[in-house]
Amino acid sequence: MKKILIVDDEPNILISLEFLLSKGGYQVFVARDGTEALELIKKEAPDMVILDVMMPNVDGYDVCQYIRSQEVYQHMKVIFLSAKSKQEDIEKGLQMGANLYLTKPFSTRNLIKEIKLLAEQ
Amino acid sequence: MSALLIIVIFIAYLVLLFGVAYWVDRKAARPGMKKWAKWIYALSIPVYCTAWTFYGSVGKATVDGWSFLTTYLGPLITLPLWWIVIRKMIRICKVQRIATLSDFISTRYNSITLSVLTTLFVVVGIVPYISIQLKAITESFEFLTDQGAASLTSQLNPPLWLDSAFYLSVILAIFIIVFVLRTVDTTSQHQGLLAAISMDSILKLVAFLAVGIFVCYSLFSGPVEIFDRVDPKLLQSFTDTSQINGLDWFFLLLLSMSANLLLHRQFQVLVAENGKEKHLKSAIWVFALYLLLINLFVVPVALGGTVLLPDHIDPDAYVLALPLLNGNAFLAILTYLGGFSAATGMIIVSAISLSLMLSNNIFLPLTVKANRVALLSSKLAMRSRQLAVLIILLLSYYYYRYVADLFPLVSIGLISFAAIAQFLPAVFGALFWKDANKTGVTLGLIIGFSIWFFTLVLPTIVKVGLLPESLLTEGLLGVSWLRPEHLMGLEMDPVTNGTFWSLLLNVSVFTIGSLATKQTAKERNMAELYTGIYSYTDSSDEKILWKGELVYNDLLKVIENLLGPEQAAVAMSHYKSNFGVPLNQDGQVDARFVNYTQRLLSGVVGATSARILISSMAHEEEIEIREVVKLLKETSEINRLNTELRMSTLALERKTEELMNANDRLRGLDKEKDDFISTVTHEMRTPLTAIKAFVEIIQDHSDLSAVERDDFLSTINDEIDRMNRLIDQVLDMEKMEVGSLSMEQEFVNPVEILRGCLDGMQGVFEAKKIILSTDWSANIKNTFVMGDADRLKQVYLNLLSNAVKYSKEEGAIIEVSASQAQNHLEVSVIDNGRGIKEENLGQVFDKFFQARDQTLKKPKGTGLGLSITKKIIELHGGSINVFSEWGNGAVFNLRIPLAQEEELKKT
Repeated sequence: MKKILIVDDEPNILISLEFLLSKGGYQVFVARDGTEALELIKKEAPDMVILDVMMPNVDGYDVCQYIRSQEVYQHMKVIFLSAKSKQEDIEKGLQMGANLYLTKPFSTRNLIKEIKLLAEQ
Repeated sequence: MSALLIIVIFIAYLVLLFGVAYWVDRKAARPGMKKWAKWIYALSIPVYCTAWTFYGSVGKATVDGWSFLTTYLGPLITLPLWWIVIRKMIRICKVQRIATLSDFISTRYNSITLSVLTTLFVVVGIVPYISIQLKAITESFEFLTDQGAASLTSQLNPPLWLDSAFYLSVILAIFIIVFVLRTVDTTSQHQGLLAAISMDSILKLVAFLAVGIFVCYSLFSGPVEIFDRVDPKLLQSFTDTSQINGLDWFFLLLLSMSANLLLHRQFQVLVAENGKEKHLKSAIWVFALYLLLINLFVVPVALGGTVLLPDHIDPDAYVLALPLLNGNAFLAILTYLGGFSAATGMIIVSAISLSLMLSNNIFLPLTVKANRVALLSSKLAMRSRQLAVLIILLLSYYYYRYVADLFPLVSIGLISFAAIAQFLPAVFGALFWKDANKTGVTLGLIIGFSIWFFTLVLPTIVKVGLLPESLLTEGLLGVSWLRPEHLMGLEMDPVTNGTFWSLLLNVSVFTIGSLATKQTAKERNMAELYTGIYSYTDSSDEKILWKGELVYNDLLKVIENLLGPEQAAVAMSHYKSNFGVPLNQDGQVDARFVNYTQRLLSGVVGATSARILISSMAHEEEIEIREVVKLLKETSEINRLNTELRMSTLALERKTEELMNANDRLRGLDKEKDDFISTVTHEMRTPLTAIKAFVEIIQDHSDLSAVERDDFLSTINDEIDRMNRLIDQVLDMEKMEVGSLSMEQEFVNPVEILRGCLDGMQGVFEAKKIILSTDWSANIKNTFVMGDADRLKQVYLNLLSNAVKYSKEEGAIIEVSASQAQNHLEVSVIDNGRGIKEENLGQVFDKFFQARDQTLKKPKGTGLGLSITKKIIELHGGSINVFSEWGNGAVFNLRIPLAQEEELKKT
């Protein structure tokens, strides 16, 4: 069973995604900010991380940079989930090494489909 | 006793003294030291008791009976007044960052001349006092080494390089320079120094008590035996109270009272070094006790000395002679150390304080005036202080060498006291009389000092042989009314005579001068501030009359120069986070910033130099309308036209600049708008995301339990409400930025509105078990402000709902209070919830700022509430502040100007 880490400072989004992903049969961990996310990554080594960008102190970009800088996490999949929807934001996210960049508001159906696809790779 | 031994002992003592100072300074920051601060402060005040106390009291007692007590009764009498007078001085000095007597006076009367005069007069008055300390140390040293065989006062001065007093002065100067004057900031407390002084005080007391006990119970079988054996005539001078000259006593008491309050070393330890005002209370009774104890054995020792000691021994030396000549070498050394510490304590504190005054008021201003501002640096400030110390000690040495040697300790001390007393009108006027002005003070001081010089110093010059004796016996120019020691033919004791006439004329000229001339507006300001300091307690900015043009960058450069780059940066960011950017709408430096800068600089170079610096940069002119009109009228028609032409050209230039600034501002606003829009849209997408997610979940999962579905549906609803509120607030913010926010302008009763809100929220308080406590000050319910009732209600509801939102689970209390201060309404909302983290304190009023919750509670706010609240309060002409400690609740304070009665009456 795949482990997925969801990181977002907005509780409602965490609740909805946790519900969906648990139903989808994944083992779900949640983090409310960048610092918690880093701790959980080191502790649980999830297979996939769903990252919000705008968070106080340690933000999504920092977490992504950290993941991509570690050999160990080479195979960890990173999906950015953000309200920053300008072209340059999307490009920046992908350049940081994310596998996918989805803009908010997103369709949950779409998200689940993408996660399945990525998980199989 | 070997001279070498004694030298070693006193050097060891000096090292110990400064070692303690150094060590305490290191540990001063530790919390453990704080509780000692109170006692250190209290015990440093007895620096008032110098070698005069130690040696001179006994000496005087053998000659004049009880009159030696006047030096101590004076302070004792003033002690109850300390809480009024000294506390006021302390408060003023803290607010204005004043560290010396000269700054205290010159700030109040807004006169640099006064600071120079004060410094010079204090130097003239105190150098003799320092010299008698040197005399005491040197003579007691000689006494110890010669076993009192030689007579005490040697008439011939040894050559300079053999004179131990000279070396002593130099050693002391070096110690002071190396150990104390290491840092630049003149207003930071010298905890270490005070600790060393306290040690001195204790040693003095212990030594004196030891001698007293030794004399009474070891050399005699008790005080009674002394009284039995003493010469009856001598005893009479104590028992016969008719011998007490009331007039003399009155003036002696007056002198010691003023000395206690005004001596600049007392100023230093009492006012400048005060840490907390309440420390003053314990200091009062500790000092009282000290005075009693140190005088306890004076009479027995004095009388015992007359009984036991040979006649050629100077009574000033009895304290040392009694143990020494009766075989108790240890006690003799202890006593010597006691006297030594008494003398050095005085010298050290005096020299440090005096060097500060000399440096700040004379050396540094000279540097600024000579247009060498670039030279001005913290190093220079420190070096000039060190130089000043050296100069003072050398001057004192020379005075000792040529003058002091010839007179008993007490009479020179009294001359110094009389000099210090000349500052009475200036200081008390500053504290209590609003109309006291600089003309009165300056003239009073000059005349007071002139008379002082004539009646008290001149006689000593005559007696030294530098002026003819006829001056004393026949008077100035042969006029017997102008005899220095008996002016106007009155036959009083010379000290009384001098004090009486100098003070009489000083006070009269001061009063007349102050009543006859008008104060400048600036001086009026300071008078207001000084006399009413308690109602201006938090250092509010003075009402500023600056009309100069100051260049921001120049100010910054000076600050960096004098404080060092790191401290300057800290000071600037502190200013910016509290008051915003220091430039006003015309691009000129804000008056409040100028004031702030001045206060910063005064911490380094003293208030006077700071002021000179600022004025020289501002080319500031005090514009008095009357002056301008007079000037214009007096010039010719052509000149007038010229002036007008120039003024209109200037005005044109200003307008152009204004336009350019407006353009820049608009561009800035554009960017702000962009930022605002992107932030708002980002904030709006958040609730939309949640709504969309839950809608899809409900659509795709028919197997949801009823509870789950209900939960998700209400979340959707909440998020929709949240978006709606956000949109409302964004529209409000938009209007406020543009300035078209609908705000009524009528007289409303803010406290009634507040109480209405509290009533309306009662249900919420009860449901959440929050205890509400209210505190309305008298008459506050009848005040009015000019504004909008609905908007005020919005503000109160925002603050109250925040307090509720962040309140504790159990035992939550919310306090709401309203009071009046300086024509403003002050309302506080205090909660005991989890508070706000320090790093967030500066941001709570920012748009969209929301502290991230630690638990997974759904956020109920939009993040705009507080910033709207702040805007509304500012539109009412007020301000809002927050204080908080993480875990310890938060205090929100708002102030709004009250409508004045006259405006109300017009409606």
